[in-house]
This record gives sequence, structure tokens and C-alpha cells, in this order.
Amino acid sequence: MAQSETPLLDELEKGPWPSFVKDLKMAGQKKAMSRDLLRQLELSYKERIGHWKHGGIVGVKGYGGGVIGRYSDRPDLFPGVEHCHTMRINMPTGWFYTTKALRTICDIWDKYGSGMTNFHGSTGDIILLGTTTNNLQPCFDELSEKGFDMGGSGSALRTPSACVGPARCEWACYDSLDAINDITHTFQMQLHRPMWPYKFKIKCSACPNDCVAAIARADLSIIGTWRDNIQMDPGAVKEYAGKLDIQEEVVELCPTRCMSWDEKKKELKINNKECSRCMHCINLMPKALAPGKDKGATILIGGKAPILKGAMISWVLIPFLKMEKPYQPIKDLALKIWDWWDENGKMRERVGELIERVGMRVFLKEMGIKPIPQMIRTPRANPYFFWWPEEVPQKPKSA
Amino acid sequence: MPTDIGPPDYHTMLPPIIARNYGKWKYHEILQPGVLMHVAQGGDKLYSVRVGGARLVCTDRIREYCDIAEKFCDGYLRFTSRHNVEFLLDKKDNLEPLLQDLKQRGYPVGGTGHSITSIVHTQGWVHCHTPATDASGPVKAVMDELYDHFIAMKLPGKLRIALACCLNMCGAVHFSDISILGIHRLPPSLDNERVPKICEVPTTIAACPTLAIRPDPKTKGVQINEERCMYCGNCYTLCPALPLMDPEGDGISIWVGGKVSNARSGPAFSKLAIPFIPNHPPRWPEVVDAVKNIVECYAKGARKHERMGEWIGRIGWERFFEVTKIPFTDKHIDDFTLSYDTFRSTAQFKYTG
Amino acid sequence: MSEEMRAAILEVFQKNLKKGKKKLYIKEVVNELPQFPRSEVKVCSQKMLDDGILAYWSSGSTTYLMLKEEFEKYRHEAEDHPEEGEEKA
Repeated sequence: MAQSETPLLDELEKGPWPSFVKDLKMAGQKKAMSRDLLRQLELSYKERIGHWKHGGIVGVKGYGGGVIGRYSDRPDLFPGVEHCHTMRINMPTGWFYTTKALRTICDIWDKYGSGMTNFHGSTGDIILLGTTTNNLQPCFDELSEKGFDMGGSGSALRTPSACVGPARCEWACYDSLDAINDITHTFQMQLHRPMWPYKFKIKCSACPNDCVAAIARADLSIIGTWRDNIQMDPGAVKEYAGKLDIQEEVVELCPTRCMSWDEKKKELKINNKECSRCMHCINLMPKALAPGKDKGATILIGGKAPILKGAMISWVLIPFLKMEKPYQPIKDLALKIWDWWDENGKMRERVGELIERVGMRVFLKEMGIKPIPQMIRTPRANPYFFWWPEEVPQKPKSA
Repeated sequence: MPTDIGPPDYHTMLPPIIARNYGKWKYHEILQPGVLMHVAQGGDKLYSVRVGGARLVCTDRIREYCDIAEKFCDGYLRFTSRHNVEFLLDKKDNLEPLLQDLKQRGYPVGGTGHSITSIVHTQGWVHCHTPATDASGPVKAVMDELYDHFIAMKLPGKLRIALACCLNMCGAVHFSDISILGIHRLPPSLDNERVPKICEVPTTIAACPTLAIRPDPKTKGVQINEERCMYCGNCYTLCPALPLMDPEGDGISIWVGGKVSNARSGPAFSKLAIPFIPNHPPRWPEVVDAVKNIVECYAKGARKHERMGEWIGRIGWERFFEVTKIPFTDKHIDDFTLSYDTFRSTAQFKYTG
Repeated sequence: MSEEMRAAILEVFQKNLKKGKKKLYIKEVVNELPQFPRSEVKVCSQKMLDDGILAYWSSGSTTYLMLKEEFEKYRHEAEDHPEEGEEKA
């Protein structure tokens, strides 16, 4: 038997978890690019270092993003990946597909690209991994003809994404899919034509379980919540009493201790005024408890990964906002934030970093949002603080 | 060709049972690991079968998913935010045959409830230009080892693992129960012949979070104060003439106790557990052992429903380092901005060791 | 779209080019033209991108603008692909 060209990667074909090496080999049977992708990866495994150079190519006609340029630094060894660019394709919201749509994408990608993909990339896009410069435009044209469009990259709105929402979740406090789909279509210019200081992400989770990690990575995080009482079906609570230790597993783990359980009567009481809507009790007893009826979302601002000034988690900006078509309040807020950030932000400064630099009070004033205690964990402890000139009678100016 | 058409209308992708019951779901149950049953207000029942997959997949793999969906699900399927595939059934009769079919093909079914679901991860050596490690390889090696936790639900709470191959952290890996993060440990090597030719010097200087880069008037390039460099790689992103990838310098760090959900405790960053493990491809045995050790200590010590960070919060970090036998070093003590917020400022602590 | 603004934007690029600066953030362009409203400079630059006078350049995470002809030259230099008959980005 001929010796394998990829002895290190072959080790990753073993074991029970699905192997990406098998997929690279499958694609390699059809495509020289994937064969060389595998061979170059083997070299990386041997040398413990990457072999890709920087970008440069940015897109298809008219667009400033959606393509990540990649070139091998060893085209002498791996001519098949001399160009190996990524195309980001905006996924259908919620990542639902008909097999017809998926097969269409596969056929187009086999025609123009390496046959390798990510389902999906971290931001949510369909990632088509590896094509040549010359194939970018025709590939896009054919995808476009079949109803697909590019996602975002560079200093632009990045492809917004949503949790599964009301399509398959009883906890959805607003229609996260419709909101994201609507927002994405409204802001196509901002998505495809980068004109900002840096990237901007919007993510919609329909309840505080935050299944798309909106709070951790979106500049504008929209997380579903409610403002009335948790809905309860007392009969169903009794049913759970046989399966769960409601006192220990539900009541005692409630962060605000706003519940009590009568073991004898099998009755659960909730002091809704004190509930902070963490979802724990609802998660444990979905048949018995549900979010309230007056639903909407908490709007948070500033989340981001470490580059540049360290990772940030989004901060509460608006505790409760109704999320209803056509989502005008949230769109107006986004436009206002973008305008302020665009004017005041340094290049490559995310909006959270700008707020940290100039102060939340400045941001709130610009947005016309009143400060309230829901925005903070604790008030300031240090006595260095600013006053607006109009708040303090000014000393007469000396002549 | 028209531009800016946006994503296709997701309504056209929804299976009829979902279109019919959109926004009208009443509750759900986990029937067995990897199998969810959602019940609609009108009584319709939707069965979702969750299958773990490599994120890096070829078109023929996707066609195989399509074959399965056409055979059992009238041609509908979805992907989750964690790279799983979900087959959506409106008939319970199809459930067993689907599970059998998946078993024959060797696909893992699981990832629900108190389990370890697929690892969210980045590109790594297969496509990224700044990676400090590979992504798909360590993920495959770790998931092979933790496979039994994917197909069963025997942990105290859910456990989410994520991997990013550098500090850019594509994806929210810094908010996971266990984060596997590629790091560099050497400052960029400086090529001042190329810097003025291919880089914008002011931009490169502004890219440094620790102000370690200054202009070099002699070469019209830059100087790097290596003592200040924290190896973030941001300068390299803007200036290809400052490469910092290095086989000995690069490797993996492990962070623990993060979460995004609000259930019980609020969302939290992952915190540093292990500052460095060298890259040992193809199977990263030390990384696999380290993750497994943390999972096992958690499984043994945590109370029911406690996530990793809640368990550590209850026992204290000093106890965490004791039970996991992870050495505590000066690397664990923050020295970037706001570091003093992480120092202990109470006489309350536990004795260990 | 005033011809005056177009010419001014073009001049910003040419002036920086002489200083050896080929890639500009849109913000730098805006900042050099305080006499025009920011949003209009952006709209005008967008038009010049569509018309093929300017071109985008992206690191993947950050986007710059360049003169189209410089973009073509630059890409070949920076990426060491002198022989490629590449596309019109």
C-alpha cells in the first residue's frame, strides 16, 4: 500500500466523533484545492505553525465585504491553495433549510470552490471555504440568482443572527427570527458597504437563556424578557412534583428567593414583583411555567471580544422595549448609535470601547436616554466625577 | 445581477409543522439524549433529533444530511448555533428508523440537557492567518474523549466548551464553561525592510493595546518595546511584516467558569485555569487530559444544576486549584487594565494544600 | 453629487499617496474634508467606489479605501502575485 501523504492528520480519522479529515479527503477526491488544503494542513501539523497570508481582496462588484482573502505562503508546495478565499453567505435566519436549498448551495460550491464549508461560521454565515479570485464573481452571481446574498466582513454591520425563537421554542418573548430578518434586510447597505470605524454586531436571543450568546459578542444585544407575571399551570406544577424536588431544585436555586413551595398542598407561589426573570424555574418546568404575556426585550450595548482593549460584556441600556414589526424603535436606536460612534469613534474602536473612553453619561446624553439603576451593578465608589456645566452655577469669568 | 437582496426568506425553509405552530409552542420534553419533543398548543408534536457534526464539512457530507432529511423529514432540517444538525420529524413513527439510520452511519445523537454539546470553534491552521493553534484538530481530539458526555446527560448541569485559535476570539469562547484559547507568547519579529513598504506605520502603532510600538525614524518602520508586548497579535493583523506565530511560542490556554445564560447566576467571563499547554498535534494529549480532568472534578464536586462557574463560585477559586491539582502561577493574577478588581480584598478565604 | 466634492476626495487620496500612504480609512478622508458634511463625503465616496475610481481593501476585520489603480498595483506587490490577471474587485 502506498504511504499516506498525511500521516499526522490520518490520526484524526480515528475515534467516535465526526472527523473533519474524512471530509477534507472526500472533497479532495473531487477537488485539487481541497487536496492541497489537506496537504498544507499536514505541514502545519508537522511544523506547528499556520501557512496563510493576509487578505486584500474584499468582495464582488459593488460590495466591500463578504470575502476573506487568503493566500498560501507555500504556493510552491501547494499550488492548489495559492488562492483560497472564503465567501460568507448570509444564512436563512434561524438556520432552517430545505434540502433543495442546501443542495443548490452544494452544487454551486462544487462548481466554483473547494467543496469545503463551515455550517456555520461563528457569526452565523454559511462559510464557503476556498475559491480562486477569478471564481468569486461568477460564484456570487449564481448564488444570487438562486436567492442567496453575501454576509458582512470588515468595518461593517456583521451578519445579524438569531436563536431558534418562536419557530420552535415556547420561551420566545419576541419574534427573534422576524426581527433579525427584518433588520438584516433594512440594513443591507451597512452590511455590504463598510463605512464605519470597525465592525458592529447585532444578535437577537428571544429569552434570557441567550442561545446566540448576544450578551457576549454583540455590540447591540437584544435579549427577550417580560414585565408581568410568570404564567403558571398549577396542575402541571403538581405533575412535576413527582419528577423534581421542587423545594431543593427550583425554590432554593432561585436567585431572588421569590418563590415558596408548599409540599403538602403541592402549591408553588411566586412573588413576581421580586422576580428578576432568570429563567431557571421555567427551564426546569416548561410545562408548568412560562414567561409572562407582556413580552419584549432588554437592550444591551457594548459586548465584544478582546481586541483591542480587552473583552467586554454588553451593558443594560433599555430594560424593556416592545419588539414589534416594523421594529422602528430599535432601528432608530441603531441608527443613532451608529451616527454617534461613527463621528466619535477612533478607527478600530468598538462602540463599547468608545463608551468606556468617553463615559457612559456622555453616551446616554447623546442617545437621550435617562439614567436608571437597572443600568448598573453598583453606583460608583470613587469620588472623582464630572458635572455638566449647566448643572452648576458657573463662577463669573474674570476679565 | 441584483445586489443587496439579503438572506432568503426563512419562512420558505420551515417545515409545515413549524409553519403551522409558529409562536404557538406550549412546552417541550427531552425524550432521551439528543431527542426533543415540542408540543404545540393545538396538540401537534415535533420531534427534533440533534446530531453532532464537525463544523468543517464537505458538500457531500451536507448532501448526506439532505438524503437523511429527505428520507425521514420531508426534506427539512436545521443547524444549531453550536454546529449541530437537527432533523425535524412530525411523525413519531419515523423516530426509531431515523435513530437506527443515524447509528448505522455513525453519527452521534445527543447534546441536549445536562450534557456536553458540540464545541463551538474557529478556523485554526486550516484557514486563519493569525492562529496560535489549530481548531478542528484539538476539538476532534477533545470530543473523542468526551464522547460519552455528548450521548448521555449525566453531568450536574450543562457544560459548554468553545475553542478560539487566537485572542481575536471569533465566537463567544470567553463565555464558556471551558474555553480553549490559542495564545502566542513571543513578540512579533520585526522586519523593518518590509514595514514601511507594506504597512501604515501610524495605524500599526495605534493597534497596540499596551503602547509597545513606536515609530523608528531611521528605517521609517517601527520599534517594539518587547517588555510591554502581551502578544495579542493585533499589530500583525494590520501589518503583515510583524509576524508573531512561532512553533515554540504558540500553544493553548484553558479558561473556565463562563456562561451566557441568565439562569440562576448572571452571564460571566471564563477565567484563566491553565496559562499554557504546548501544541502537540495531531491529538493534543495534554489539552485533552486537562479538559477531561476539569470536567471530572466538576462532575464530582458540583451540585445538581450548578454550572462550572457556579460550582467554583461556591467552593472558591483556591479550592478549585486544589481539587483540580492545577498549579497556580503569577500568570493567573491579572496585570492588564482593571486588574485590581480581581484581587482578594477580604480576610475571608479557605486554606488549601 | 458635487464635482467639487469628488475632486476634493480624489485630492485627499493623491496627497496621501505622495506621502507614501496608500490606504485610508473612510474616517481619515472625512477628517481631511471638514468643509463637507460627513454623511455626504461618505455617500460621495460610495459613488466613487461604484464608479471604480476608488476600491475597498480589507484585512478581513478592517476596511480601507484606496485609489483603484493603486489597489491593483498594491495587491500585486503585497501579495507577491505579479503575474495574476486578476479580477475587477
